[in-house]
Amino acid sequence: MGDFRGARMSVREALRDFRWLEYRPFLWIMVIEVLFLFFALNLGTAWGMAGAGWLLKTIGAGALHYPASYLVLTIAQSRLEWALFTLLGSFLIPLSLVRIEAPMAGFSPTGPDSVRRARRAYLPTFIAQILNIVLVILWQLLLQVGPSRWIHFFVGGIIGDTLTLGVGILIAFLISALFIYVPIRGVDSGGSIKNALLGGIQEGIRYLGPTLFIVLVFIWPTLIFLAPVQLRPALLVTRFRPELIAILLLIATVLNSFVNYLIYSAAARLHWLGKRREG
Amino acid sequence: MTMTRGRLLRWAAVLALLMALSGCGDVAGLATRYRAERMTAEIRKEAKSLEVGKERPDSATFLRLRGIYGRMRVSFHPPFVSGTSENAKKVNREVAREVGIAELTGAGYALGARRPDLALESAQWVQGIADDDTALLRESAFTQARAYRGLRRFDEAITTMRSLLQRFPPAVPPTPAQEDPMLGVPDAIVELREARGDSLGAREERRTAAAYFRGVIAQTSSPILAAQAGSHLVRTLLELDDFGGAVGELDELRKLIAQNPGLKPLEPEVLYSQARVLNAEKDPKVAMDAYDLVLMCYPRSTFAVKALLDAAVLCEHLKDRAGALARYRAILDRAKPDPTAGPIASFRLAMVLDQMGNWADAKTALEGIPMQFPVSRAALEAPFAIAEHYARAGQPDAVHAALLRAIDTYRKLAAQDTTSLFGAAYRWSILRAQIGTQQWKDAMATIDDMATRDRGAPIVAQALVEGARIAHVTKNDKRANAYLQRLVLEYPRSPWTPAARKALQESAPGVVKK
Repeated sequence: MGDFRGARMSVREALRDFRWLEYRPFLWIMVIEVLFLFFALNLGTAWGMAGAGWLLKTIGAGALHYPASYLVLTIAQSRLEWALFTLLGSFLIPLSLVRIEAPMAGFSPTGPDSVRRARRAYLPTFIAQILNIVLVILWQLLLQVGPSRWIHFFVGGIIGDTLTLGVGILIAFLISALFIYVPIRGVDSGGSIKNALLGGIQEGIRYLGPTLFIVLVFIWPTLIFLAPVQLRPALLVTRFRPELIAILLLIATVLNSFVNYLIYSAAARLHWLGKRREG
Repeated sequence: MTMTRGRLLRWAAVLALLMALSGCGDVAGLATRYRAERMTAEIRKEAKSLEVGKERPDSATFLRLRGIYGRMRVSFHPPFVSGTSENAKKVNREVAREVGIAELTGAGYALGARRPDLALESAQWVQGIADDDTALLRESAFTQARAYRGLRRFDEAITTMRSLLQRFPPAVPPTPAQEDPMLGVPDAIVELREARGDSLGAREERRTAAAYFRGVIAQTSSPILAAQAGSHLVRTLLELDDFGGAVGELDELRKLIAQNPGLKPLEPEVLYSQARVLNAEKDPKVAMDAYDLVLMCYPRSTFAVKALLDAAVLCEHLKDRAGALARYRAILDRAKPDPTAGPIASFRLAMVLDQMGNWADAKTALEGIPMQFPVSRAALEAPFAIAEHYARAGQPDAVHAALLRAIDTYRKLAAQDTTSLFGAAYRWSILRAQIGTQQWKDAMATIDDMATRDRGAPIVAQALVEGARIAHVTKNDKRANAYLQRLVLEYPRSPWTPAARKALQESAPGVVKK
């Protein structure tokens, strides 16, 4: 119960103490994602095709056609996000966390010490991101053969789809919550990779409920924009305009960037709160 | 500040790389294809908004729709994608197909707007960009044939259809419910010959069609295509009165269906054809049972309607008028009466009612045919049937009035569709009614109109003979000779030509070239 109170406090503090400098590492990831979506919206131009075509092509040759490109845009964007969070995020997330910690720890948020600390957390964060992605993919496969069928056995149509999406997202968040403390411990402790990774996962298990609470508090605005894209992409393409998918994804990407920062910021604060309590 | 400039430079480098990439490889071609696909989707959406409701759009809407589809041709110019690589050629073909299909869709609308000239130009343009795209070439040839038909250039339409049959083998459909339009081309040629009153030519075309279908069956390994060609062949053989051949092909078809359960949708036709063979073999009772079986087993099939019609005619032969009436009514009471069986059923229903002494209902039925089924032989005959009834009843005034009404009806029908194949037939009917009412001046005006507008149609040869006869009646030998000379010059193969040549030689020796 105490952890949930701590989580609430952390959420409030994360919102109150938002700083551009701390957020900026997430901004870089967001800029690349937005750029990709901008290219995807302009596949009719040679530069748009060059900018987004290579990634869309990984889904299949059909992804370079209109309006199929919009139907598979969510998949392409997920792939880009996974790659960015694994390769760049493994440095940028710890960098943001270091900048959050800097005023408390008493070092410069933009100095070489910050960069050194962020670099130290790269490998555990990278491994945690890979594990996270692998587990989420496995869960998505499992969802299709198991829970999705059971849910649709009882409830069909849009309600069944929404329930499946809800269950899918909730478990994916639970998996992500397990690894959220890895970069936090990576920058916080001067210990080994093993300490950051295993300690982070242990902390993730210990704070699973409060962490999930933090995630859900911040994530819902993004879900509002993502839900139609995930549930009925074909409907958006046929009834409205295919470009609507890219617009919704664009809004969700911008929101998600702030949400990710706020989640890490609140989780870091919860971690430090717990550390202070432990003494 | 230095950091910011450095970042900006990095981004600029990335963008420059993308721009450089855009100039090489297939990126530009893929973008062009994407634009073409997006434009097609937008055009379809816009066109759909114009085609609201079930009513047939008017000519102005059709032309507007054509204009919308024509935007593709205006926006994309061949060669659509530059480059000589295989991939560039492939993308170029895909863009050409996108643009070509849009242009042909527009051509379809032009035909709807009775502008076959525009459709022909579009089809010829598509043929120019199709390169080696068989599907596009085929579609453009189909549109060309339809355009020639609309332009009343019937010989060119037939030549185009023949070339279609030679160049493009029919495609194997994914399911028996779908059929490649190519299999319908031989029937379309026959229909064209029949519509022009060329019954000998039609019979010859039927023989050619039978040979074509036999060739398809021999060459294909697909049971679906073989079965579909087989059913066409049976139909053709029945039309040729080759019942022995039809029985043999029916047996083959039955075997094929038994071996391939997926071909079950063809069963109604087999059953119906079997009934037709039984009917032809003069076994009316068994044939009647076979027709009823088609109706019982497949009441919703189009062959159920055909079976009803054949059974009704059989009932008439067996003097079972009540049975015939019930069957004709069953055809006409359907939610959407069959466009082929409907007018025949309506006409025959009227004839049976007249025989039964119910002239009031018979007349109502006959008067309704030209309105309900304007493009049918029954529509041409119904007004005359009314006049003939009064002639039999010995009411000359009523005959005169009926013929005047008939002229009015045919004029309305001809005005409704100026490019219709039935145009010549409507004008011929007007002529018949004018001769019946002895309106000689009007009759000769109609013949002149036919000679210009329906030039080449076999019925015009007969009209010219009538013209010569009327001119003689009105003591206008000069005009009579003019009609006969036109007949000799423009219709050298007409059965009336030898007599016309003889008459011309007798009246003015040396006028006719041998």
